[in-house]
Amino acid sequence: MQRDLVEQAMAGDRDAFSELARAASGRLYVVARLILRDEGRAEDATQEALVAAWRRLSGLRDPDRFEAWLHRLLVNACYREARRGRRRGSIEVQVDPLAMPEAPGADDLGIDIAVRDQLERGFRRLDVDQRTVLVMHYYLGFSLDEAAVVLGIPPGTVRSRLHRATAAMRNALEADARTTLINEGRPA
Amino acid sequence: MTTKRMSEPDFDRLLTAWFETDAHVREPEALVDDAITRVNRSRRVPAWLLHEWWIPMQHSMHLRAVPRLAPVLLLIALLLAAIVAIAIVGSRPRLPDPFGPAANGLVAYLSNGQVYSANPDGSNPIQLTFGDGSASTPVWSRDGTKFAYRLTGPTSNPSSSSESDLVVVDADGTKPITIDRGARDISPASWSPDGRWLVYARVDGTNDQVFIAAADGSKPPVGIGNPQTVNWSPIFSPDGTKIMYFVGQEGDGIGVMNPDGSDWHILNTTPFKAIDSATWHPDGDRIVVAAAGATEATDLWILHVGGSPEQRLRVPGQAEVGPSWSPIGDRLAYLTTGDGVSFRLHVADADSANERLLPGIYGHINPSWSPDGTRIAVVNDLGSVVRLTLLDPDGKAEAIVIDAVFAARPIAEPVSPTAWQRVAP
Repeated sequence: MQRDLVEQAMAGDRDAFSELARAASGRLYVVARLILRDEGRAEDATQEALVAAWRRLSGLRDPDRFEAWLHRLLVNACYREARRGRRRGSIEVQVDPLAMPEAPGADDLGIDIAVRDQLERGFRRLDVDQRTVLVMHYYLGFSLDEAAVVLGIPPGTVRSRLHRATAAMRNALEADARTTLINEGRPA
Repeated sequence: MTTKRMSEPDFDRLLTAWFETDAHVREPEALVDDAITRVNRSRRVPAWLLHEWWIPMQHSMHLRAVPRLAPVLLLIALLLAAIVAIAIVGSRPRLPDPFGPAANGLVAYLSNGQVYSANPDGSNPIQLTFGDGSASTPVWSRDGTKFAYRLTGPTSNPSSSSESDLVVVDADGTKPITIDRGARDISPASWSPDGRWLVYARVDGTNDQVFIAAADGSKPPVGIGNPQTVNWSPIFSPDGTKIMYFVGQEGDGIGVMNPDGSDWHILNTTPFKAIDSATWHPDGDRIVVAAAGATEATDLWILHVGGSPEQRLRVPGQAEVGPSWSPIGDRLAYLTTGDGVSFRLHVADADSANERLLPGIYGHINPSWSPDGTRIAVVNDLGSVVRLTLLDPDGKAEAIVIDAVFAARPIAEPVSPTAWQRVAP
């Protein structure tokens, strides 16, 4: 079904592309928001990726790779948004998922609010390269090889980025834990 | 006292759960509608202009691996260049006129993201570009002494396939000059006849616009033309006094303007539904366009720069695409297709009379005349092996067929005869 739509869109059918875009936009937005931590920029990146998909669809050789290809376009759009943000000197806006109507309580997933805050702080300190591999691996469930293909970088680079990113996240958790202990008057 | 370190599986589970928690958000209501509105205002980029079309996605990750032989080959190339330089010192190289017939030089092609040149029979391949990034769309200057190409990757966003630099190098690949940096969707450059200027299109804001830049890098790129329309695929006229370009989201028209961006206007009186390609006649007085009218398949049209109404060369029927004038403008080569996938090559007089079908089935890569007019280069990329065929337009001499390795494609530049280096007769 999706392959048919992709082939029709590749042949220039805008209605088929619209259907593909409607099916994918929600997921793309979530991924962009996870990477960028900003709703406005995530919206811009998602739109950017969808427009780029239409413009560049004739370059897709294998319709079965549409999903992976779309993710690559989204990641590129996220890179651009991140750079644009740096140039503007803008400040990332904290998004509270618990305020969203569909969000399950953090406790439902067994994550303490304080730990979530520590993870959030640690994640925001990562660069976009590292955020992207974390989201691809832990949220989208891509293997390192799959992530390498989508990102267009060698698997070894994905591995090293993932290693550095998870190490930084661990450090963030442990540093915050030590800070808490110090503030409570107990030496770490 | 020390904090307890979480085990790796526990930490993995924590990150997964955290992302799951964070992912429960609704997309903004207008997001997809706004995106589709923007899509409806955007044009499709032709496949041959896209980086990923030349280097498929699953292979592009290997591009940044620098071949171990590269330094050695570079050294050899430099040595050979030095020997050649010594051999010709004291004598001025003869150059071809900027338009009209010339002798056949080298054919440029791509392999694994680098530009190579070879003799027209495929012998003596030489790698011309090296290093990080992926090169594409090389275009020879009219005197064959330089080429401009698009370099994707190393300086802007390494993982982006749409942001590129425009680079000019000498014919041997040396002395690189970056003309534009980190620009999106750069089209193949078109050289002014005197080799001083380059025009090209790139995304400016949200849409393609035409830019002009000094080929020696002394003047930065400047946007020219009507900023209210989408403009792309600019090509200098043979005498360099005009620039032709496509206008509209899919190519509603063919525009013409002066090199400073003034006097822009559209030549066709009835808008096209979509334009496939267009190229100047060597006399500079007309342009052949493969374009679809309001309801028909793609046909060939002649647009007169002097202002006469457009003239349809081919009656509606099967689609004709990729027209290319012979170097003296007396004949046209073009492709026809019934299924949109496989194409046949035809040669006809300039007015499309006396059409002759040449043998073979080819892909949708426009034919390109050799500078001396004795051969037409056409490409078959329909199978696993990319094949370049050099055909005699008169159908007398035997065809030369060159098999290329995967991802190696000759540069059959669809909008102007740049696949082949022009050298002095």
